[in-house]
Amino acid sequence: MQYQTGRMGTAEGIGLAVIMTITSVFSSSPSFILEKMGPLAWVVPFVAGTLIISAIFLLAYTFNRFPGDLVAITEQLLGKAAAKLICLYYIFVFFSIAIFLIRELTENTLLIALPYVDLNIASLWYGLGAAVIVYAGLESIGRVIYLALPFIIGLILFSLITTYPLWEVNYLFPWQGYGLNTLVENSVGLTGMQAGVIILTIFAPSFQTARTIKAAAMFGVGGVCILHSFIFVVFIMTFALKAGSEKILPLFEIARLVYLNRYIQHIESIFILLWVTIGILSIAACLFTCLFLLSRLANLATIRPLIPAITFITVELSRLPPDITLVVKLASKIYLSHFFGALIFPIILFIAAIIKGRRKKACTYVR
Amino acid sequence: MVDNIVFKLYRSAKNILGYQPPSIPSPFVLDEQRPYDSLPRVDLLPNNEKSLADLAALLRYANRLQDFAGRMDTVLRSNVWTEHAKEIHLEFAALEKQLSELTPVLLRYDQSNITHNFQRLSTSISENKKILADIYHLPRNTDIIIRDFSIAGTPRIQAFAVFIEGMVDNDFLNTSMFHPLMLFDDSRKLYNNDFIERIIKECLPSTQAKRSDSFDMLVASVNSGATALIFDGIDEAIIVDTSGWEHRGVDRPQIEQSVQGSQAAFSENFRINTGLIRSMLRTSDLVIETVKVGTRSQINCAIIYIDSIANATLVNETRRRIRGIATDYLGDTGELMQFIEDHPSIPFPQSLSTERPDRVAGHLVEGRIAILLEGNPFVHIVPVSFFTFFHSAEDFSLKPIVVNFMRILRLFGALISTLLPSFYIAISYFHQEALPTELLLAIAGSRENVPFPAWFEIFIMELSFELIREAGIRVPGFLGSSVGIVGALILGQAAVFAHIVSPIIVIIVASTGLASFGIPEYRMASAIRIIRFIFLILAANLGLVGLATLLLWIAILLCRMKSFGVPYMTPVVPKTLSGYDVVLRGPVFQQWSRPDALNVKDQRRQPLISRVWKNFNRRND
Repeated sequence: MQYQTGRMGTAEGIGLAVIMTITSVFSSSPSFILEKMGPLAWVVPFVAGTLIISAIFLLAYTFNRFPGDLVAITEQLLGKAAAKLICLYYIFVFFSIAIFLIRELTENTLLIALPYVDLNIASLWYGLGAAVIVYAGLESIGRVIYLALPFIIGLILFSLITTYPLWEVNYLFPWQGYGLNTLVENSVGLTGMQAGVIILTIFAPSFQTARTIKAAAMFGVGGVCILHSFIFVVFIMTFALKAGSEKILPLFEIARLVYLNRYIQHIESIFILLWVTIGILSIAACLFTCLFLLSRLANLATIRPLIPAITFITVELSRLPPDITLVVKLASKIYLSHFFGALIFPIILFIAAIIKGRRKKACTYVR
Repeated sequence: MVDNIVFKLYRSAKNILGYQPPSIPSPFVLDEQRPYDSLPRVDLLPNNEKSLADLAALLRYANRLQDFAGRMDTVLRSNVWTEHAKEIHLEFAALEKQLSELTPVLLRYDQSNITHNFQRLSTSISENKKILADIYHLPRNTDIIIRDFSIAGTPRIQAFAVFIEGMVDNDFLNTSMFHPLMLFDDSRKLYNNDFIERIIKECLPSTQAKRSDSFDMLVASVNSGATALIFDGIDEAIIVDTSGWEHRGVDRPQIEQSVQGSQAAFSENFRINTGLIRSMLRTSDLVIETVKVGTRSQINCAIIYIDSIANATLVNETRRRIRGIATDYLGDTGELMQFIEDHPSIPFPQSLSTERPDRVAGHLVEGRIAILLEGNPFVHIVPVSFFTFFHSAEDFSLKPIVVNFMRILRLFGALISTLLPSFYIAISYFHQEALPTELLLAIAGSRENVPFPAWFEIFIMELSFELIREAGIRVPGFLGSSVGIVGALILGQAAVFAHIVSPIIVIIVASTGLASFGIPEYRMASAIRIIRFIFLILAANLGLVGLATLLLWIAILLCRMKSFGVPYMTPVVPKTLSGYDVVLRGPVFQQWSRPDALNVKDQRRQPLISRVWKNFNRRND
């Protein structure tokens, strides 16, 4: 049993890992990856997923030896200045994810759900939606995702499988894509898109043990990787390489193609429920992490008074780029920079932990 | 110094910049670590050795006593006993000394016998009273009555009667038991011959009276409504059948009707209600604590639980909350619950309200706590989860496949009741492409002559429906149902003919209303009805985006709520062992464990193999 405050279990952990990785499925990133990788794009999630899971495992090893969360461990291993820097860097990571998510979600809303709604109102609505959830706390976010997970996975799989009359297996060839080199290079770079999974280590003391974090990363990220890969396979088999890389919202396009009979067709509207839910939860998780790191950085007693201000700033920043094309370009560049947070910092901390290796009570919160 | 606007602004700015969260006590969360698990483990081996040594000493004494009795018998029969008198005297003194040495061992043995049920009655009336007080958790248990009295006779004999109030026939008790025992002939010499037999034959004009020398039989009979009479100096008791609790005469359930199972419901009488629960759960472990609530009008409030199952922390917290109510008067259990529940401002119920004793018994056995208020026919059960509200009273009377179908139907009904009108609005306003063309044309055709927007149609129809429902409840007797029929049929038909609403709207609102009646718990259905209106407003303005956002907020709210320290959405999130009775229900013989979230003292409800008969072959004779 696992419901005491500050003792999140595997279920909540899986929920958080899923929400930080699954959101990219609903954006235009699959088209972007398809363009770069060709028919071998379906391998990318596995490579990126393996790397990020390894990073979490390295950090879990560190948590077994040093007490505290990511910031506290950095302080013990690399000093106060490094801890502040790490804190600032991860604030940037999660803040940027939240900003781009709000903008992308707003643009998607205007494009397919509410074409007559003003951009400001839509983005403010998503900000409000996330802010209310931030008040509820991370534990509730994790629980809701875990609760919604069967429906999310079920609906995605339903829409993927029901397009089977349109599948053409030959589109998956040539199976080597653009070569192994391109695959590895780009996959490692694209690991930054899944940097949000580090949330598990930022809130490490809130989990029961380091093993809980490892299990959450394994099942959460692993499950999303398999789903992501299946989406690529179906996407390539349905649209082929050229047409597929031109689609702005691949999953939405797939849902639009569903036709079982005259009453079950064009299920893209129901799909809106799905991506709005996932989007808002993801923004809320990012905002909560930002606020938590801010409070750690400035030694604040609570994060609640900051919620409206930070949400408003996030919404305002999301409205700065003039169009969605610039947003996508900016996002792809900034997500690449998240690679440091996803892989490099965990490796540095792991090496430092080995050098300073000592064993203390695992996952104990110290401030 | 004058407190002007500058100082006020300065103070406000200071408060904002140096904000400190208010110090509020941390909310109650039922500890996930069982206190019973963390008790120091008893090192059994040394104790066992000591016990064996004690028992061996007792056995040696018994053997010696037997030998002595045998020798005495031989000596007395041989007519030469005077020769052996000194020897016998010495042996007797030695035996007495050994007995005095063994007395602490005997006492320890008696005290270590935790379940007094298997113990025999003592000749000491105070000892018997103490044991009964232990068995029945007195003085916490307030419906267990121990009545002291003396029996008319020479000499007057001290005695006490033990019975459960609410389960006995008080008139019978007074006229056929206490009256003959206390007020008859004072010159009787009762201690002559067989005292118990004489009392049964001469003093008790009852159809059923039997003697018992053990507590297990006595307790079982008292739990079934009998009265036990225990006398000073006698190690036997008389059990008189005085059972007279209210059964079917009470009333049938008005709200929770069922096809199968018990048809009894609670009434306004406090003791009849506790008696009904006692008659369902015949165990001395059932504790009915009474707490007075209200400062001006003090009303009895019973906290009912099974002592060997319910979590002690939970019981203490419930008691603490009820004792911590400071108000003039409490007239209703629902009112009481608003004083003690975790989130009184949230419309979702956090306790299960029931009028059925069988349902209360079922939940008590699972480790929950029942709260009963005097003068109220509804018992509230805590803690509960969201899914409990979709279970009905007869769920365990029917086969799993039937029950599971019903449960899915109820949940589907709840979903329809919450979302159907708003979904229709969202689809017809913003996402018409989701509808097949023929259906879209049919809807457009039916709305052709209606001058109002669809959201307004739904809004007025929903309001009308709520009005009809409310009027149906308030109008007395047969008129109530007539109002419902007149309202639903005539008003709906007339509205369609007058082109105020379209037929599709009538269908949607009627389906929604029907679905909401499928939810077994009235308060849950009411909460859903209220939320439906918010969904409607958001769907009309933001389509499926608004719908999804509100769904998410509600999910977050539900995941954050607690019912007496237990998460509301358990056992789904957080994930706990559930005993295969959440949304779907398994076979009764596979309900091995109690809900894990309740952290009960005894997790196991029945052995893994509960159909023991399956393991034995049938005899071929």
